[in-house]
Amino acid sequence: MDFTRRMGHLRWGLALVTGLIIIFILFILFYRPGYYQANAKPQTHPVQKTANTGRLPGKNVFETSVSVSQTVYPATFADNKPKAVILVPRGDWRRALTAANVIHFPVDAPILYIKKDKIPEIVKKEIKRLDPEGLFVDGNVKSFIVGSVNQKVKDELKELKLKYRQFNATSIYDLAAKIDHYRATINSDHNDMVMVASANAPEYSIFSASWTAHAGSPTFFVNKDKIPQATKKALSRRPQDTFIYLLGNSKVIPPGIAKELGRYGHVQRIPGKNHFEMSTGFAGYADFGPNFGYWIAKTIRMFGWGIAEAGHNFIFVNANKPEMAIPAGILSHRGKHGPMLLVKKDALPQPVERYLKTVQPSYTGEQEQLFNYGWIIGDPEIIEPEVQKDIDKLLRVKMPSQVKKGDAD
Amino acid sequence: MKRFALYLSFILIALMVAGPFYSLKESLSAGKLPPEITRQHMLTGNTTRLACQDWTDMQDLVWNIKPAAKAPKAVVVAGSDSWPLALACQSFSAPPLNLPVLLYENDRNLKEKIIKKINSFSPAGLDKLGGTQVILAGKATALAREMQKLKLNTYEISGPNTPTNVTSVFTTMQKLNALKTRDVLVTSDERVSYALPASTWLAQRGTPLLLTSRNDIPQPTRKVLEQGNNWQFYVLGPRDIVGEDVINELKKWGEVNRIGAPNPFGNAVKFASFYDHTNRFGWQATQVNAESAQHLLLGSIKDNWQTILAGTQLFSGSNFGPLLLTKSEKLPSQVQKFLWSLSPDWWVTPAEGPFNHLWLLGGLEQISYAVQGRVDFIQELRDYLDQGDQGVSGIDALALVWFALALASAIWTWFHLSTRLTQVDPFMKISWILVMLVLGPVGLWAYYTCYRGYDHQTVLGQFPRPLCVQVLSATLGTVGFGMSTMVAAAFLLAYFGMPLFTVPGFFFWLGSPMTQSIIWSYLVALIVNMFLFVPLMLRAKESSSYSDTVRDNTLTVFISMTSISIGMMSAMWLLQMRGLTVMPEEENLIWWGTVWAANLVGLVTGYIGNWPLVVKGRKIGTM
Repeated sequence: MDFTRRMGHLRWGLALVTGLIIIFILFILFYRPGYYQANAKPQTHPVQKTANTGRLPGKNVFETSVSVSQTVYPATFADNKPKAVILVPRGDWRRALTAANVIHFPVDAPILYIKKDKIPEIVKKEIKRLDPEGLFVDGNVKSFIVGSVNQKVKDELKELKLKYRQFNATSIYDLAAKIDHYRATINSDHNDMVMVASANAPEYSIFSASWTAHAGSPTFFVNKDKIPQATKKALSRRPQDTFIYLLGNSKVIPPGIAKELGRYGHVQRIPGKNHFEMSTGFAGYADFGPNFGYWIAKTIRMFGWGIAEAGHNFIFVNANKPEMAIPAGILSHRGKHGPMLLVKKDALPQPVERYLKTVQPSYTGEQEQLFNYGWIIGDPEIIEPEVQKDIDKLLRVKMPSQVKKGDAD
Repeated sequence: MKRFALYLSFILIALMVAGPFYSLKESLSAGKLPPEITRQHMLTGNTTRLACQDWTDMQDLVWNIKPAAKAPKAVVVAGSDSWPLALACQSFSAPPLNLPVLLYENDRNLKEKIIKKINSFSPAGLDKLGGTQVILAGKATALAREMQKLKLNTYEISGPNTPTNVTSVFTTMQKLNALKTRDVLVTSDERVSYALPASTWLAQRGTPLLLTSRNDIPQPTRKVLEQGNNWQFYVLGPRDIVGEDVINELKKWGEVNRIGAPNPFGNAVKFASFYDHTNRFGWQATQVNAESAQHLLLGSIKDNWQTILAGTQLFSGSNFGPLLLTKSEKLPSQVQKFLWSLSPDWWVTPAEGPFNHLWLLGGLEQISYAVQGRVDFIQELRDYLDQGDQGVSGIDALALVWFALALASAIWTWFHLSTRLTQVDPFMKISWILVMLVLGPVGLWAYYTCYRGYDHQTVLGQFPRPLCVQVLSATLGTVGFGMSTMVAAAFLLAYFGMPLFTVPGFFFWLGSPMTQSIIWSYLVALIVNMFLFVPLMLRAKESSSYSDTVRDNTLTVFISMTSISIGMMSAMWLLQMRGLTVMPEEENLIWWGTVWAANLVGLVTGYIGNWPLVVKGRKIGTM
């Protein structure tokens, strides 16, 4: 037969191709990825829930950071594991806020607190549970150390087989600049939308952690009387069109400093008379416009949550526990992205209440409804159950039966 | 050297073929797991677990976390022995009545608890039912004495059989003027798992339930239906739960819609996505409502119905949504598919929402942690363009189709070369196959353009082709090995972790992983081609020695390779760093998608770069 004569010498080729196709079809038919192999021990502590909030428990910063990481990364298969972990020695909230700048994609890693000389047992357990995959854009490193630590911590990491990268700096200002430069190296570009906070007023800047985790904008620190050299250097790395957002009123960041910052870019202040109001001001703030580029290839800038409507998620933190609050920023990196709001231990501050009323969803119907949700960070000793209930009331859908006559629905 | 080059080119072919398969497999694979997982809480970003020992525990839990409404008019207590009755009672929870529904079993501990609970509601009394404060249904009538002691007015629903009781619920609701439409949900007493999905709908919308048997309609139900002939029936359950005879008979009294699927999981999914616009019946949990959020309740088929009905009470009022069922160890494929289709997308920013949330009923025994992790992952908000990990987006699908075409082109070319163009140099053949793998169907077009009509001349070693074809052939001479080496190098770099150096000052971008990857893959490809493949491909044409060939061709290879990589690398940079929201890993198929797109750009710039070389006679298209 003509066909046999012509194709005869291709026998092996045909056999190979047919074989490969059969293998491929068999693979498709019978390959079952093991998504359902993970087994968890039942939890031991009951955790307070309400219909529209979830509490992430923890009596200290270690436990809270672990709770948060467990929420974001169930780690039941490869795709819900992080790429790395960010280890921050506790003791300085500014270090943690700076570390938040590492979180965003492509890094994708939670902040976990450690001690300067040791990784606490609970954190070690969590690292083993997370089993980070390795960061492909940086030689598959599996952990970051932010700040200086004792050799013992590094040894422990070696024991855990976690390749690490350390950020070491002489001052907190320098650390912020270094991490910013690292991020810029990954992206081949410095993020042009930056926040500037006071180095001495944590309550005015901790809520920016959620935005940093969500959008990758860094926070730099200034003092009341001057802009530190490292911060100046970091800002000047952006040769044009830097957009600087000030986290603080004129008492926290004086007008003189704001004016001087004007040399490095466009300066705007986030609104808010006090820190509670500023956390809601930040949640509602949005600044859109052109950023960098020429002619037809101009990139846009989008800074700020700009949330003034229903259908969002909020992270509630105790304003007096900055170190506890900052790791929770990662809840805006995956899952339900949303702003962080400050509350008192035993009360929901007025501005936050007002804001939540603004964004409270109204009942629309069984088929189309928007819901709000909230995370409460820390044990009942950090934010009291009554506050959680108050928050829940303001997050829930306003039902027609609950609307009084004359109320604008 | 020839042997080494041959091995290397086989490795290249293998990488170009197996690479995308590897990425495809990796993007699905589960990876390895730690042996034991300890957690401080069972919340995840998109799920909440209501862990409980048994249904009484669940009831306590739900009424602990449920938003405290104003004092209800009455409290409904249903016996925990009859599921149709307890299910029918859920309708009391919906507006306008908004009554809490509790389950009750004759047990001393529970009795005290329930009485305490009823007291805590301090019901005001239903005027239309003679000031009734507690409605007792089924076995719960055993509480009547205690209620009298507490001076609470009671109303009893207790008949000789279940259908009678269920119809009593119906008529009670009529008395209370709670039925605003002619909608009726009909299910049979055959299997509880097929009826349960209705629970959250009943508790939120207040559609009344009526009960049939599998093959005929019981007398009490019949009696109620005879009130009119314009009912809207929604029959829940497949054919072997509610028979065709029942459906046909129901048609006498109104319009009938059947909602059902052959297993409980699919059945629940069907009900969740069902919608009839007449009275806006059904959750319509589909992409139509993608702009609103979905709250879903997930029950386990392993659990008893009491737990699920106790959990249903959470989903009435300001939280509501469909009830789905799952196996305890694994998400059934229907449910998984449904959840994927519901997973929310974002267009402008992931902060825009809406966000979905799932409530899991039961402990780890009922719904395993692995199922929770899976559900959480599927309900995660995703970028519309690339659909994230494991999601198949339009561009993923395009990449897959492109890959299939590339493979087919490569196989066809291989066969064609070895049947029709046997005289072509083996390295040239390998080069053609690589061209197909990097350029896909475009490579096939180029093959056709280069040889069509000239094949008899190739036997003579002459190439009387027009200039534009000659340039194409010259470009492809570098594309085959050059491009594939660059792609292979970039892939391996990503696989082993790209290098990153922090360089102070203006040249920081030189240390960037992408720049590093570009530099290294370019250099590797340049060297391999300059010293290995090009001399080998030319050896048949040129009689000069190896070193002479290398020397003569250094500049040509350099110009050709550079012009290709300028287009290819900048396209890759733009696509991976700017085009996609998240930089793709080599484990995602979309990584290959960006590479294939970049290859085409590289072909165009390579063509431009090769033009002067061919015009000046430095290169003759040999492919």
